[in-house]
Amino acid sequence: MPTPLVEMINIHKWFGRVHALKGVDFSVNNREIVGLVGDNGAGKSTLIKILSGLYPPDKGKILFEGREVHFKSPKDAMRLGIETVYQDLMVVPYLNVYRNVFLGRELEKKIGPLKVLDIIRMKTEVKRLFGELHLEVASIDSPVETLSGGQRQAVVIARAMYFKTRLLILDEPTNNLSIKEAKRVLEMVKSLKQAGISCIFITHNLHHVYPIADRIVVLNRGVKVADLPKAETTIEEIERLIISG
Amino acid sequence: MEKGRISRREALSTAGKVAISAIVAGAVAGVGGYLGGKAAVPPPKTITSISTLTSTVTKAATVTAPGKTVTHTVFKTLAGGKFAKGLRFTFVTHGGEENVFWNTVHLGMKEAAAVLGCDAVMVRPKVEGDLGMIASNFEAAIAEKPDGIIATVCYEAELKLIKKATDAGIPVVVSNIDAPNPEDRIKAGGLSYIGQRLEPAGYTLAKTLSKYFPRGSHVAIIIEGPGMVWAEQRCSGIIRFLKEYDCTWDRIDASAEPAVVTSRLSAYLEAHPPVKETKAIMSVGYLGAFAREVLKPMGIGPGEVPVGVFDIVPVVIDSIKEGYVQIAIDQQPYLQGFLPIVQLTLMKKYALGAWDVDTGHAIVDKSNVDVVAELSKKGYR
Amino acid sequence: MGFKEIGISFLQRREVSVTLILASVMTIFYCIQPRFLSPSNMSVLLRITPELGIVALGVTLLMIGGEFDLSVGSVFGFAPLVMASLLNLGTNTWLAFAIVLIMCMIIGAVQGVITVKTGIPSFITTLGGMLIWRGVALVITGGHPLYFNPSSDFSYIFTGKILPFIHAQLIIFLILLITLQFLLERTKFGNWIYGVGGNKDAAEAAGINIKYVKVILFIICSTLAGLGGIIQSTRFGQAMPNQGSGLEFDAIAAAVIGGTSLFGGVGTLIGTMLGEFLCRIIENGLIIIRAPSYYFRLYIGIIIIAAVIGNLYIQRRTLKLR
Repeated sequence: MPTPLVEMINIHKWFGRVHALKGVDFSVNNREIVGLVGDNGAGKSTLIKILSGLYPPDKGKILFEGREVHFKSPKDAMRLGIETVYQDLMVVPYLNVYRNVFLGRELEKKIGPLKVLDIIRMKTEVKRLFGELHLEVASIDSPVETLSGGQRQAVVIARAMYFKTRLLILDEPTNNLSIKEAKRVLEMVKSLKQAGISCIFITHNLHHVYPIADRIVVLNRGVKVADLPKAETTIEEIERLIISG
Repeated sequence: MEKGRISRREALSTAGKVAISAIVAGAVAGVGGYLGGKAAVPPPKTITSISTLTSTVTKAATVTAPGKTVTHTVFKTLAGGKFAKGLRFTFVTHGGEENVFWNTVHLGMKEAAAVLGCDAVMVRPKVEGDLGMIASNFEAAIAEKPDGIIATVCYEAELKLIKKATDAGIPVVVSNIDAPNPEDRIKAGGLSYIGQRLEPAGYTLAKTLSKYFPRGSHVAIIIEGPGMVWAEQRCSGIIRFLKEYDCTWDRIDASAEPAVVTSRLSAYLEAHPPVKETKAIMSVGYLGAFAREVLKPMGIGPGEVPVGVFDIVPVVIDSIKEGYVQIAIDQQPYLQGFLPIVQLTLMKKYALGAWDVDTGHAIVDKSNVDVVAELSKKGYR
Repeated sequence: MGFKEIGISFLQRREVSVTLILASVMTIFYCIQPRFLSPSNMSVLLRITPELGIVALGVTLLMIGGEFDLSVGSVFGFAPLVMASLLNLGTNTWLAFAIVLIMCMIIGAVQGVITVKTGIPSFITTLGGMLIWRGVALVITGGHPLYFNPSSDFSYIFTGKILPFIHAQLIIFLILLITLQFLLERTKFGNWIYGVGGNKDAAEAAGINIKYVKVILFIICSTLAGLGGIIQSTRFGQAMPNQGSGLEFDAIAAAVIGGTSLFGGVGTLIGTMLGEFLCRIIENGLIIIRAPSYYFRLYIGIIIIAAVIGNLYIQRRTLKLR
């Protein structure tokens, strides 16, 4: 068995007196799409927030390609190639597409001793990425708030693709999207896998994740109750596991 | 792709609508302001003879019938001058918009303008005494090129602005506060000073109040505008007398706000108890009248600690009647607004020179406060 | 890019609303009293706008980043007082200037660090700052103004007459305007400012160090406030304890009129410059047309609301164009 890309071992997390995660083991392999499912309050968001560096686990450890890592901030996780697309979409509505894609890691060029934004290169890259995601790039200069939900998702996915992500975490990416747009997002995730990027796909909607996932992990009230390759299970069984644990 | 795209026509019409509404709003606001400014001085009406004008003015001055309508009637009868028709004067002052004293000056100025038929406007800073605002007001007044400017020398820096106005050909007359050294004012082009001679007024206040406290006493002096020429000048006049009277004193620096004055006075009196230590209180402005707020809670009755202030504003009158303030020195602000207009008009019409006027240091105390009170209600004193 | 494209991108700029209002107000004042546009009057405006404009630039940057600084008026008054005290002790002008600027940077850093570390809204920390620095100023001076006499080369560089209607402070203001606008629009840090103000969580998730960005903005704001005060004092030869009273609201009004959003993430410095200019024009224009100065506050209030509504309206309509 090749070393998993990411391994989370015996993760515990408390919020005040609430024991949100009770010793969860969770791993993702290379070129794998893992569906992380469970009802509200199961701990899915908490788990991936720990993985993306937003908070530290209270107990347990995280291994990346076999080495133990400690994230002090999202930047540490990003440096290793872990990117997250959050449910409350983390885009700046007033900024345009390329400023959002490159937010925090803007491309620069030198004019004499000064470092300025390399707007032309950023625009070119964004056009290229959108092309790979099969998206229209009509309005790359418009503020992101003018884009539809699916297009905004694309912005964040494009960001992940550019920065040589190894692992992309998608937190409820298809909520609030039309059927057509949701399908597009799923296609994008499949292309990511082909490009060598693993994915954790959190959702309520089993019908969305099931077709594209390699493995399904079910959480219930902070405990992992199932970890099955897709082929060995069905949507109905997963539903049952979510509800009854 | 028709949806989501607005035609050029629509875009232009939107921009046009916004532009038009902005212009309309601006126009309404501008015209409103302009008319509002004009409304303050009613348009001149022709009158039949000069004697009628004089007798009407005399009658208005005695003011026997109390009531709000008096001012209005006076205005109407006063209005009618053609003497100074077409002349425009601007009064740049340091007095804030909330300063009641300046309302009287303003009234004097307005009535002079009404009598003479000219246009006069007073410009006050948003924050009392803010040099930056006074300066920009002054500069704007100069740019407007009126026929004359009336200024107060609240800060010596204003002398430069007076010079600028004079160099631009605008005659300047100084009112209310003169430069500490009148020579400087004259050099800068301030043709005359109409107002109280500040240092002697301070001396007079202290001397007159001294009949209420013994030689060698300790006295508190409230300074409502530390560093400002008018305050420092009066203060030095007070101190000159106190030295002669073998007294000791302390300065309480405050500002022209009652809250600040009362809190600092209160703190001071806690440390230097009234009657036992502090035998008298004077203020270079009118805020000493608020000593009542501090003395009463301390159990000090009216007259136990004599108080002397400058200027007659309603709170001073009430305090005199109550007995907490013994003396107020009146610099007759009405004249400080009225006379400059007269001077400037005469200068413009007959090339007369300006002349200094000491608007007085009349003493108001319990014996004459009632008469003054009546006039004060109408804003004349 | 066809004319339509250029036209649309122009309309989408936040400064359109204030530009239209500025043009209308100037036209109206001119119609009532042509002397309004006389060279001497314009030169007066060009002389007073820079001092306050410099402060407004700093306030705008901070507002784009999502925070407020209510202490700018007090720092505007405090900085020249400290410099005057140093000068009166015989300190070399440039040294005193450097010391005071560093003091302002420290003030900004302190206010910034307190705000980001404790989570107290900047409105509150800088409200405290406003009272504290004003209070210290009054304590040091006892309310008296101090003479402010820098060396003549200093005076010349900061307030000297360069060309007939162009004074040094205007040049300084323009240099700062261009430099900071460049910073805002064309550098990484500028994008971070917009990010932090526009969506703090997104910026954090993108790995931007929010605390660092905000503290730098506070530092810039306080330093520019001090610089503005020093320039004004150089012009008058005096440092007065009450200098700059109420300036914070003036600066915020200029920014808002110019298109900066109170919620952060949106705004430009050019807009603020136009907004500041508009405020000064109204002040000046009212005197020129001999309207009672009491109207000033009324008009500024109306203009603020008109400008913001104008902005919203234009943004909404042009958003659909493309």
